[in-house]
Amino acid sequence: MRSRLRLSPQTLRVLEAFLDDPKEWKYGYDISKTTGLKSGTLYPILMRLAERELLEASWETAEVGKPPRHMYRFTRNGLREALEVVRSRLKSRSQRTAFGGVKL
Amino acid sequence: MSHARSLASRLLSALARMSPSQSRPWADAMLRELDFVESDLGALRWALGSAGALFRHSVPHLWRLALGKRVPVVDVTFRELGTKTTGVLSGVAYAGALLFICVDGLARLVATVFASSTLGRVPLVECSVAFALPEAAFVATALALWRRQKAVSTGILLAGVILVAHLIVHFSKYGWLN
Repeated sequence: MRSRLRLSPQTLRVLEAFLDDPKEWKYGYDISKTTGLKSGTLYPILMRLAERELLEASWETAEVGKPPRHMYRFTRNGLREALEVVRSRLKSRSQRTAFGGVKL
Repeated sequence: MSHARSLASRLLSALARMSPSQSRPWADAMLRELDFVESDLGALRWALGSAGALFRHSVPHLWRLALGKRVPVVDVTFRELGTKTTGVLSGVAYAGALLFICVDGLARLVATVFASSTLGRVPLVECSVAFALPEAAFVATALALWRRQKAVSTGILLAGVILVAHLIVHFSKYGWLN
């Protein structure tokens, strides 16, 4: 059985970047710029998400003479999980705000 | 192409060739993205970060190969193993750098102070600089890092043990403080 995905703040940032436009393919460097994560942090997250089949990766069909780029987007399962995670985060954040930061 | 960008490109190309098959597409992906990094230093930083990520991704696969796949494949365990290996290697590298600084400092000290004076060399001082000082720093750093970075601490202690073993062999061969 696969262990639960480790949801570090960096992983959340990556998920949120993909959620901006879930159907669109995204490139590694563009995600790095959007999230502010360095390649050494970003790629392990992308690798983990791809290994768990939450992301699908594909090589862009390149123009002649140009090497192809690797791009990523959510799988159906990935999108569902990401939405659940973000919703639960928002819910817990709003609860904390509503109760003035008191732990329930 | 600047030196920094060329170095970054060569580093990632070499890693892409050497990576195990599972990591190769990722290495190629990182290499392709390099063309889109605007600044040359940024490209070098991109390559160095990517090298670290590739190393961490490749270590579990290399372990799996080394163990001949006799161990049940549990991704999480192998990933932890990769992280720990990186940590231990970082510790050893830190210890090596510190030892180099101490030995280099000793060589300069001997060259400037003792060579020009009539005192001659003082083996106890040399031994303290080249051995006691780094060993004390190793132990202090390892203790300070133990809770947060156990793997790095282990690497530092490992280097300390190697240094002690080296000195024991040295002294048993050449005699005490010669």
